[in-house]
Amino acid sequence: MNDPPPPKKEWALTREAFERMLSWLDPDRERAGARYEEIRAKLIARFTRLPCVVDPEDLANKTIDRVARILPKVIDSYKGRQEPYFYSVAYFIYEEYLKKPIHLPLPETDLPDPDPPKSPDLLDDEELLDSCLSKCVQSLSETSREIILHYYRGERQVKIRLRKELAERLGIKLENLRLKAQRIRDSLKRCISDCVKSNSVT
Amino acid sequence: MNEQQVAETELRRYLLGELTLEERVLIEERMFLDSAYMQLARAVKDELVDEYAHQDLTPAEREQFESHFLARPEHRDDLRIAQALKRYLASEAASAEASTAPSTAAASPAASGGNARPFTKRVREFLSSLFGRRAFLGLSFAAALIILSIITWLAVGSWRLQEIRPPLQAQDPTPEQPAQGPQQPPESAGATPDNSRGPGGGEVAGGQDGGRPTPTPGGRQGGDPAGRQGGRQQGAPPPTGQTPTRVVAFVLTPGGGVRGEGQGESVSIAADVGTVVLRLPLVDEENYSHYRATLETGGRVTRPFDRLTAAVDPELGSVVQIRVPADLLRSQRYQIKLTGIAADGRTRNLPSYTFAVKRR
Repeated sequence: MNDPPPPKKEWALTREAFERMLSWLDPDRERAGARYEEIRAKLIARFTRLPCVVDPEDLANKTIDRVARILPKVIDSYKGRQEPYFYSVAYFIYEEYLKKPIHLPLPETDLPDPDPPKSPDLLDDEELLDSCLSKCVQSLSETSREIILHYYRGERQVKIRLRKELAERLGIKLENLRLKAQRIRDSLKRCISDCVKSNSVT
Repeated sequence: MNEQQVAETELRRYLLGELTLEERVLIEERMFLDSAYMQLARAVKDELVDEYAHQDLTPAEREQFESHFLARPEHRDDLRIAQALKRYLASEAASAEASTAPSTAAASPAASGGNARPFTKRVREFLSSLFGRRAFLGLSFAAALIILSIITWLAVGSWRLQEIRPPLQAQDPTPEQPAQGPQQPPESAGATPDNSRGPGGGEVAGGQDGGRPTPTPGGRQGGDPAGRQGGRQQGAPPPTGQTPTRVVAFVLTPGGGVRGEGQGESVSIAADVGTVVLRLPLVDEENYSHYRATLETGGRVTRPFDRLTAAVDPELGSVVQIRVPADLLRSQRYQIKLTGIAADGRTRNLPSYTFAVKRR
């Protein structure tokens, strides 16, 4: 599946689109209904287990809506099973959801309220990006900072050697170090993104 | 090629746009359903971006990267961050080389990177100057010096640990922990926000590899579920270079206020703390079947906790307890929102708990 179309304003699931989706699941309406319920339940269960999800049912509904909406475009080209397609769309729904700030009421008024990005390429400002990265690296824990500074250092063979040494020093396997480094990098990306957005607004 | 290598190759092809629609759907399905696979995909993506930033891709791969991978805005952001990280590391390496004296270059081989060879050459020259051709004597002398240095360092280190061990300030997590249901696996140092709700989350297991966890995709955690081990470790800073494993506990009061290390409104977390146990005394008299909590900051959920149960503490009364990996907490304000869930499914929002974190 190519990237799903970007989310537009709330698209309402029409009866026609719903029926089309059901018949795609199975020509027999009863079997189609059962499969639909099973897919929806599995989506909700999975979204419930994913981190940072406040309303798993809402995300499951959004997934179904999007499948129903784009189905006319892919129904002729996609020849695989139907269930994976729902979960494939759910993956993108979740990724988009993670990027959106959640606005929840809080008693404190001094907490910064994240604003939506003003431009699509916020990271174009190299100086701001470098400054934010530096701040975010400094805000990491000591161990995380050490991993970031040493895991991504060097090129080719030097990089491989440094990673092995780092894994030995930390007393962990190389594959664990890799996952750890990736998680730290993810948190760095979020920190940088927040920093850039807040500095861009001001 | 083992299974992981096959998966990585497939993911790389996916990112470069080499797969059919059906193959892409299966990859995306798996990324949605399997957290460990999603993590692997992110790692492969980061490495691909780094290779591009360091010009390590083949010409064909570079073309695919630019035409397919960079078509997505978030991937362009990934590249900018990778390039910024490359600049940052280069400037750090330059500062480190400029500021460290030659004799300290061997102290951190990773930091010195390419300086290891010149250092060994200098050592050889020094030994040769001392003993001429009698390298054997020179090496023996050097070995003896090294062994003596290590013994002295261990002795001094042991003495210093006894001198500077901080007094216990935080509460000991009590041995009688709330019964943790099957949906709340025990935390371990280094556990990430990937999942805290139950099986299938790909969380890391605990307790092995010198304190570092071993990933068990979709698996549950091992280790001590009740924090007893954490209680014994409390007050003993980990050796240098090892993962923080200390467990500290704080009692939060509804609306704000902290009892424990760093009294007042803040939770003070030292660098050697691996897990923070937050104890939430309940003010609502109704007994709920279980509880749900969300740790939030800046209006965003940092981590949800599900299927929590209350326990009775002789001093605090009914208490719900959540265990948070220390590296999840930054120096900022947090709020814990608690929801009570009755046996009939009714839910009720309970008073929330606000606190600030100070990292030290």
